[in-house]
Amino acid sequence: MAKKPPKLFRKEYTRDKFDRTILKKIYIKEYKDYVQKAAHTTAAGTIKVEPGIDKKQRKKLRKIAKSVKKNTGFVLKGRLILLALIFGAVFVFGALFKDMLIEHGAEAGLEAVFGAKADIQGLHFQVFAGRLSFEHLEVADKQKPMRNLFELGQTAFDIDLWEILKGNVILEKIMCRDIKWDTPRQSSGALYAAPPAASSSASAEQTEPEKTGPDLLNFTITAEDAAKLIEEQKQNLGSTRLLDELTRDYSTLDEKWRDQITQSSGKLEELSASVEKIKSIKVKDIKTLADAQKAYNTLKPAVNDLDTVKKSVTGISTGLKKDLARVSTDTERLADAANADIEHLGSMVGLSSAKQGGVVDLVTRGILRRYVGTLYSYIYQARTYMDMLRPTSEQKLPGEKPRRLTGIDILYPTFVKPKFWLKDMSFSVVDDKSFGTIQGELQNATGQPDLIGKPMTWSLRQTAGGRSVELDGSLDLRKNRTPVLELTLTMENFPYKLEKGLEFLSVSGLDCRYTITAGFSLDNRNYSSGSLRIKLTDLKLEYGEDNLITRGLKKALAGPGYISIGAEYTIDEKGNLKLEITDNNLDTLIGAVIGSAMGELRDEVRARIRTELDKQLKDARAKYNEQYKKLSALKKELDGNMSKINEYKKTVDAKKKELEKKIRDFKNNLLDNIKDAL
Amino acid sequence: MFITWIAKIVAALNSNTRPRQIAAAICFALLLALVPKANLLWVILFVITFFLKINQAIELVFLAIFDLLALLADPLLHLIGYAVLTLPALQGLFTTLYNIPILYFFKFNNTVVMGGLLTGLVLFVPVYLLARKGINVYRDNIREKIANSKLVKGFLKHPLIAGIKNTFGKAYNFYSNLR
Repeated sequence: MAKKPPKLFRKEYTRDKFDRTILKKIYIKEYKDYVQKAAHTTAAGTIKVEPGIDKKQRKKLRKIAKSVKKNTGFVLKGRLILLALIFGAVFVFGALFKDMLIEHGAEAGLEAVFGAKADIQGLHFQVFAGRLSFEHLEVADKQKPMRNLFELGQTAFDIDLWEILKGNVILEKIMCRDIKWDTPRQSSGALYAAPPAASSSASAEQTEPEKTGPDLLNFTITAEDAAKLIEEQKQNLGSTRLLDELTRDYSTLDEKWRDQITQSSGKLEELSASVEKIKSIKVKDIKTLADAQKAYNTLKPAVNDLDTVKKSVTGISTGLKKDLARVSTDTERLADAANADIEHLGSMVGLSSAKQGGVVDLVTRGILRRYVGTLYSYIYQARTYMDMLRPTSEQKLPGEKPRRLTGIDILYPTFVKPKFWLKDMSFSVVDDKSFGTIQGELQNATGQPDLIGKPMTWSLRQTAGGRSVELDGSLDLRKNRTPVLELTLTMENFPYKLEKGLEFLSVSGLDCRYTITAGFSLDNRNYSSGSLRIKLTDLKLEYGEDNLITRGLKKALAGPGYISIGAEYTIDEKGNLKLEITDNNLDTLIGAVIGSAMGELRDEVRARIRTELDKQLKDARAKYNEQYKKLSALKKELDGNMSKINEYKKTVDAKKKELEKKIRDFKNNLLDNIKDAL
Repeated sequence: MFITWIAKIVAALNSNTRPRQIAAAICFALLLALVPKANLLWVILFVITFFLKINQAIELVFLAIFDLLALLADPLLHLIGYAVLTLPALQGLFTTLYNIPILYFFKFNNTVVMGGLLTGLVLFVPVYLLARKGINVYRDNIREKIANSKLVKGFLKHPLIAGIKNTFGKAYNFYSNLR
């Protein structure tokens, strides 16, 4: 059955056109020959394939015609049109749905970073202006799914589009109004059901055993207690020991001196007769030299005896005086020993004045645990989020080797920017019911701070209901930087209540307002340290029983009306808090008041102990005094003897002088008479 | 798989495909093989070939073959790339290109990428001319001889091969009619 040739060959062609359109596009000699054979030249000089070919010929010509058609042009127009259509569709779709797509993309990104649901409303992206804005954004708290980690009101981002083409997200400026934290949610913000994770702040907030403080109330003492105390401590008391010793010592002294003095008194008695006899000599009545010489001779032994007795009494007196001087020293020693014993006994009833350090420590620890601990956990969280912003491409999988040579990336002068960089952000909340007024700024937030060479810095000011918080800080995650975090926190006029731990001061509760100025620094090992100053004002203490301490506290706090505490603290990598109070006025105030009261009490207790000690030493002291009196009496007797001796000596000496003069006169008269006689 | 590749090459060479389509396919395959993958430059080059009238079957077959050769050529490509990228006269140009955002993804500053690209471009024309010449020579002189050889004729007359040819022929016709 005759068939029509394919469409390409039905037309009539001029020779040139036939060559150009068909033959030039046949590259197989066999095909070329076949076509030339099938084609005929018409009377008009044109070339065409005549109809009436068989099926086999048609089939072959169709195959050739198809390949000829394919061999035209360089571009696949169909595919290009399809591509253009796809691009067009994408563009139209993007124009219509770009905001929605970005919204979903941003929500997914935030959910990946924060690990909880994120919701954005009213997002609008202006491509050529590089501005992204939205009406509302909220991100749930991973730890507390029924609360938002933060919420943003009307917000606008200025994005560097040029950098987007380099794959970097650089936010030139973010302006945000009505930022809120920790707000309640209508629905759970958990992405998936996860077991409740242990709070990162647990370590910082872990409960420490309550500090009860020293027992300051056990300081009173009764007479019975004093007697009992002296009895218990008798072995350790120097005064009783010394008193016994002296009493024993003085009894031997008495014996020693009494005999000597009695002997001297006897001798003196014997001498008194001789002295009386000498006294009775009347020198005027003596008429001769012989009588005078005789009287003088009777005087001589008495003078010698008197000298001997005087010498003996002087020796006894010197010795006795020496012993009496020792007795005087011993009296002083006894008084000193008694005072030392009173001091010792006084110390046994807990009158130390250095036991007021617990209050400040307790208050400071409470505030630190409550606020700085929470802050520490927030910082820890923030650091985790910053780490998540680091590009994952930096983390190469171990053991993954490319098949081909990787070559070298030649670097040219350029400013390599981080994958994410928030240059400047400012936000504010004006007179919110819950948060009051907030103003905040954040600069240079990035996961690659080494590329920008700056740390992330921020400042936050919040004022609400007379309270205010100021938080300024910097987070430096650049390599080998220490400290990583530096923070200054000022919290003013916040209420504080302490209900436990002050019982040892007879205080059942402390209600006040506080102001904190705290410095905080954290290094690479999560080891943090800082200093803080706490000022407690509007102090209201609920006192228990009325005693010395409560009176002291009242008196102390009535003065300045505030408590000021300075402290330095460290939190190690495990979250353990170490606190050292550097200065505080409370201890000084309480110390001064309690110290004064303690002084009074100490005197009272000492007097009581002195009375009791005196009572107990009474017998021993009486014996001692008796001995002392005896010695004194001996001394008196000795002194009497000495004066007698002196009187005798005076009398004898006078008589002696008188007699010597008489004898000299007699001798002179006698010589004159002899001279006259001669 | 290897037989499939041979079949594709044989089919392309023996069909009425323009020699330059096959030659261009070989040249693009060489270029794509020399330029390391995983960068935007390679992706763009590859996508371009989809819109050009070149024999894609040949391109893919030769890409696989040249990939193996590129492994051996890498040290040389690195040296060429390094020499060009560090050429003082071109520093200004490369610095400008380096700072153009989208070009970052081309990884042109990598020595192997630059070496591969330049070598591929330099070899493009000679390989193209050679390939076209070779195809023409084959079609004009060798194809007929092979087709008329007793071995091929005997092979094609084998009942099994004739059956396969018949079946594939029908399937091809059916597919062609559908299009």
